[in-house]
Amino acid sequence: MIPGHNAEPSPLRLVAPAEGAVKARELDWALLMTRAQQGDSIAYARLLREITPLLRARALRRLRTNHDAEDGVQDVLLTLHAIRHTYDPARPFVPWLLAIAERRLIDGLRRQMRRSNRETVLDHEIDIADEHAKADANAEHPALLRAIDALPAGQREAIQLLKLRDMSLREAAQHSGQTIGALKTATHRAMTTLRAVMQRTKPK
Amino acid sequence: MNETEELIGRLSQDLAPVRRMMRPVPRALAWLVLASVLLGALALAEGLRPDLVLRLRGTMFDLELCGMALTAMGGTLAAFMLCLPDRSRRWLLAPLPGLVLWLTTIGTQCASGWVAMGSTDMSRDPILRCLATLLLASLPLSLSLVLLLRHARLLAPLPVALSAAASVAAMAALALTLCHAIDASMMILAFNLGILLIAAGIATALARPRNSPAPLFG
Repeated sequence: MIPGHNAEPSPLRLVAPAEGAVKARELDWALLMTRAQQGDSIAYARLLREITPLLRARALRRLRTNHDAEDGVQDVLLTLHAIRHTYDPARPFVPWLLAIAERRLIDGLRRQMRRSNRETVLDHEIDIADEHAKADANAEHPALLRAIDALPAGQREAIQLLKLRDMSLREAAQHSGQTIGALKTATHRAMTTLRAVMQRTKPK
Repeated sequence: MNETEELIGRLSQDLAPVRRMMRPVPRALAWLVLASVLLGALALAEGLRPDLVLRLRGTMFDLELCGMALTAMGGTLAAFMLCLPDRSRRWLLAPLPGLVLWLTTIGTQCASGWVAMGSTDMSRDPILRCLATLLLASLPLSLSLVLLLRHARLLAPLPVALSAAASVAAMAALALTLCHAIDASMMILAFNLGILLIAAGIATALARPRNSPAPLFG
């Protein structure tokens, strides 16, 4: 008999390939997480990239829109990062990850529901807006954009993130790397400048 | 998706090593030992109640103390377990047996009319001193638990807050019962429930998840 070619299947072969692959992947993630706890940024980046599709699938199941789901994924990643010291390498990684994901996504769902409760569909009466106001807004739009472009870099970024992209202060702080206090100050200064500029450009 | 990729880049850049959290059972035991030392010091400073030896001969009093101790142990263990994402929610039941025993014994004593029999003399033990003992016992314990369990606000704030509150209330009631002769009155029940509700309220307020956990790191 050729060595390694027994008539009976080896115990390893009894495990379905897909299951084996899943187990290998989970072990791999546990190892990457352990290395991340030791400060290995390459292992951490690889882990976060590999778990993102799984998180995205979970998020899409819980949250309705792609945008909300992506926010949910980011929230889970941020939470995982904040509590990465709580992972115990003696325990499996995936249940730990999925428990974080479930709790954050449920929280995201609650936020989404609160937000949708606050939002109201505009009825057609409001759609018939004042044409003059519309015309004014259109006329002011390029001037406003020019005024924003002319702002100092920090103020411009604050306005773009908070007013044009409608981010929260916390999101804008994360995005820009500025503190919330700095963003508030920059926004206040920018608004004062813009108000003054728009007053000057308004036809008398 | 680009933003997520950008976030991954930012999170993994210059990643600092972290000190892994101790397992929950040793953490809970360490906290219980420290809390017991604090309560012991408080009891020494305040002085034990004069009728303690006599009262310890009574079964109901012993059961009440056992109930408090079990609630403290169960609540602490539950809080340290529930603050981890992958532990069963059933840990929330851990303080229940002690809590039932404790509250039942208080109820029974109240019903059997200890106050009417004159075992409690509030004039010798002014209520302000009791309040001071309660505050001295519960505030450091609550604050230390809030500090140790702070990351739970992102995961399961309410169960953790309730377990921790049960534990602190039991500890504070234990200190009160050992130092002051006001057991067997409705007062202690009101105090204990008050402490539990205040501790739960504070812990829940602090534990409410933020919109984004970003300030936790960096």
